This record gives sequence, C-alpha cells and structure tokens, in this order.
Amino acid sequence: MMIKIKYVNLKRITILLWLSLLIVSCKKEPLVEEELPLPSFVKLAVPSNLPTAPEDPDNPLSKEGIELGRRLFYDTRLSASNRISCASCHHQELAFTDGVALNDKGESRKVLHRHSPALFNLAWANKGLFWDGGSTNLESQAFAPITSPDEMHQDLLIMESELKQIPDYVQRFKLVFQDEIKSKYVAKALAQFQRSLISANSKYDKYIRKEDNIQLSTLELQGLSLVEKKCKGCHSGELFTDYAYHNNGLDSMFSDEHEGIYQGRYRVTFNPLDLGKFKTPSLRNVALTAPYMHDGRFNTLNEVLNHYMNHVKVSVSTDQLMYQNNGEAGIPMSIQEKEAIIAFLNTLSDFDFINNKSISNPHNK
Amino acid sequence: MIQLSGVPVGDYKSIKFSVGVESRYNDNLSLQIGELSQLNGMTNISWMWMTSYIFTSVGGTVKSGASAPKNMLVETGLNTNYKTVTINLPTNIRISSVKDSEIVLKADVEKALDGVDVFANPIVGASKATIMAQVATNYATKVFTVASAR
Repeated sequence: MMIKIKYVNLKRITILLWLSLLIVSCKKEPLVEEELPLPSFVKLAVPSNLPTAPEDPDNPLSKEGIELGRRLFYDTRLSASNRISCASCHHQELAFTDGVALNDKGESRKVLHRHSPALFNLAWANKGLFWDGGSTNLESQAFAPITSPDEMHQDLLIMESELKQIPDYVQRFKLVFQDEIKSKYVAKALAQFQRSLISANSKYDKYIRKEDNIQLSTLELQGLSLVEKKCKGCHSGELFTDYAYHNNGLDSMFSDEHEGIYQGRYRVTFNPLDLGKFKTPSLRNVALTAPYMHDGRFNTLNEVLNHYMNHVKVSVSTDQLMYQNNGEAGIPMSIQEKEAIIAFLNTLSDFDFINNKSISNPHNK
Repeated sequence: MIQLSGVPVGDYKSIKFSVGVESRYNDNLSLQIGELSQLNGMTNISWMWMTSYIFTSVGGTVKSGASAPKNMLVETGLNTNYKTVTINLPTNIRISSVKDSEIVLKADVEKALDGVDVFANPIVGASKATIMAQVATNYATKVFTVASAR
C-alpha cells in the first residue's frame, strides 16, 4: 500500500491560546480609553407556570441584543442572493414554521430533507437543536442554515461586509457586543432573539394560571387528562416537550439516503439505539404548525393520532412509551377520545404570540 | 514556529500540548478565540452539523497494488477525540533569561494512520467513530517526537 499525503492540518489550540494571550499583553495601550455605553442586560420574563429558563453566561441577554437579533432574523442580507431571511421559512403567524412539509426556498432551490421546525420556548432547549440534535446550542446552530448551499448559502465574510455598510447595524453591534460586526455576533444576536420567543399565553395557560376567569370545556378537560395519560411521556411538563429524542415508530427501515434523514439522532451519535429518534416537538401551538413530524408527512392532527393508534412501526429503537396497547405497539384511543385530545390541543394555540408586534418584521414599516 | 515568552525560569523535562479544540470552544461555534473560526476552514458544513471543529485532517491518495488509486481524507473531530500529548525531552532544558531555548518537534504523519487500513477506509470522519478514535489516539501517542531540544 502506498500513501501519498497532499496536506496535513493540525489544530493545536493550547498553543494558540498561549499566543493570543501574548498578543494581548504586547498590545500598546490606547492613549485615550474609549468609554462605550453598555447594553441593558435583561432576564427573560417567564410566565409563572413555566420552569426557570437556563441562562447562557457566554451570551447574556440584553434588550438591544434581542432587538438586533430580531432585525437580523428578518434581514435578507443573511442570504447569498439577498432574497431570503430566517423568516422566509419561519413565519410568525405559524409559530415560526412554514406550513409546508418540505420547502424549496433555499438558494439551490432543492427540496430540503427536513421540515422547518417551530421556534418558541428555545431558552429551555438545551439538549441540542435540529431534529437530530446535531447543534449543541443556538449560537452554533445559526451558522448551518446561513452557510448551507441548500439554505441561505451565505459567505460569512460577504455577510459581514454587507452588514457593515449599514450604519445602524454598526452602531447596534457596537453597543451590544462592544465590537465591530463579526459573524459570531450575528449568531449570538440571533440566539438572543430566539431565546426571547416565549409562548405561554394560550387559553390553556390562562386556565392554568386562573387568569381572566378562563375555563376549559368538558371536552377540552377530558382531552387534557388523556394527553397527560397518553402523551406526556415525551411531551412532558408545562413546555409540553422533554426536548429529548425518541423513535415514535414512523419507520422501521433506516437507510442512509437523503443526508441520513431516516436515521434521526443516529446521524449524530452513531449509536444504533438512536436510529429513527427525533427531537420531541412541543405540543404548544400544535394546531398552528401543520404539517407534522420531522419530514412533515402528516397533514392533520387526526393523521398524527391515527399513526399513534394504528401504525406505530416496531424496530429495535422504537420507544417503550409507544407500547401502550397491553404491551403491543400503539397508543389506543377511541374516536371520541381522539376528538377530545384534538379539542384540548387547540387550547394550546397562543394567538398573543403569533400576533405580537414586538417579534414581527421590524423592516416592514 | 511558535514563540513562547514569559516562561518561568526552571528546568523542564517534558512538553505538553493538545491536539484539537477544547470542549468549551468546540461546543459553541460563536466563542471564537485565536484563529478559531469557520472562516478559515477549521470547520465545514458537515462538521458544523455535529457542532465540532476539525481537529486534524490528512488528505491525499492511496494505492494498493494494481487497483486504481482512491482519494483519502482522514479527519478527526468531536470532544472525545481531543487529546493532550506529553512528550519527555531527551535531556532537561533550562529556561532562563540567559539564552533562547528551542524545542523541535517532529510529526510523523504516517504514524497517524497506524493500524488503519486506509485503502479499505479512505474516508474517515464522524461516521467512522472507531477508526477516528484510533487516529486520534495515534496523534496522542506516536505522531509527535522531539527532534531536538537545546
């Protein structure tokens, strides 16, 4: 066997860190110390029925940072053609999904393999982003859609230079990050905006918090109790998701076609027990976020419930929570129970959230 | 060449460094420090999908007998493959203000591929976890030697 080596690339971060320390210490002190105003740091206003949101000390939230993120989220300069923004596939009126199974809005016009996920209550999503959890945090996640050839396909240097041409952005980045515009700050600002997207003002929330004398109907209450019994294993707590990964029996073959779309979390962990596992989406706003599943294969909540009733496929990684039919696969429910569940799920729609002007497109005047 | 200054005076018997990116930075692509960045090829779309920088990358072609050559790309990444290497110096060196000291390290890239059938597995990355771990271990244990220290 003969090996011809063309290139070698080693990253030695410890030494790099050393070097950067030295560079800092050698730098001459500027003659006049520039006094920069600081942004107003804020804590997320979390409704009383939700758990405390974890904070990220590496990206502290500020009022101005969230607003900057909002402006970037709706800015088409983040894409190569300046045609699409994050909001092109995440529409506020649909709880930041896009209403189609798989879209072809990206720069390559190729049909994407995964359904555009809803964006809300992400401050709690600390077990990974994307359907398979490949991204560790929102800050790291942003770079993927921005640079992916089938999504925004932006060159990060071009993005920086385009943003630097807007004096308003130069000022905003300076205030929020005390620095000039850099792609890492674009990711941080987008993350701040997304963490601020809290949705917990549905009819259900008002009922739970005993606000405005809101009551649930008998049917809705029956649905709530059925959801607690049959669905909350995964769609747990007041966030209605455990942000974890489960195989809910959609498929039993896990080919590696289409970027490993069938393989789910296995694509990231390469653990055979993770085959076909996807991140639990929240049941909040579920009536607004059709179609359903990681590939948008089900058009209606009725189809989703029919899957759980009759079509759960068995494989080595099918979740134990799917075996609710006397040890057999499936979650039994009567037609009347299905109706009650759907009635309850409709109480989880947060119309204040989807109509909230402070998270809508700031460039539409 | 990497120049270090301000090293405390003393006799040194070994050198320690790491191959890869420590998890704090590897887990958050917005915490860029030193030359760490997407902008200079230190990660790419497939590694970003796993949230990792590329720790090491060896590319080229591989041939076996009369069969056609194959493109080879052996990469390591992911936190489990972050390795710290300690190498003893042949003799102690004294670091002092009297004179500059120099340590020359040799990296034998072929050793990085020890125990790996690169003709059977010319493309190594996250999907070949076991082979990647072997390569990372090779970097930690046999790739680097001290050529000279004075």
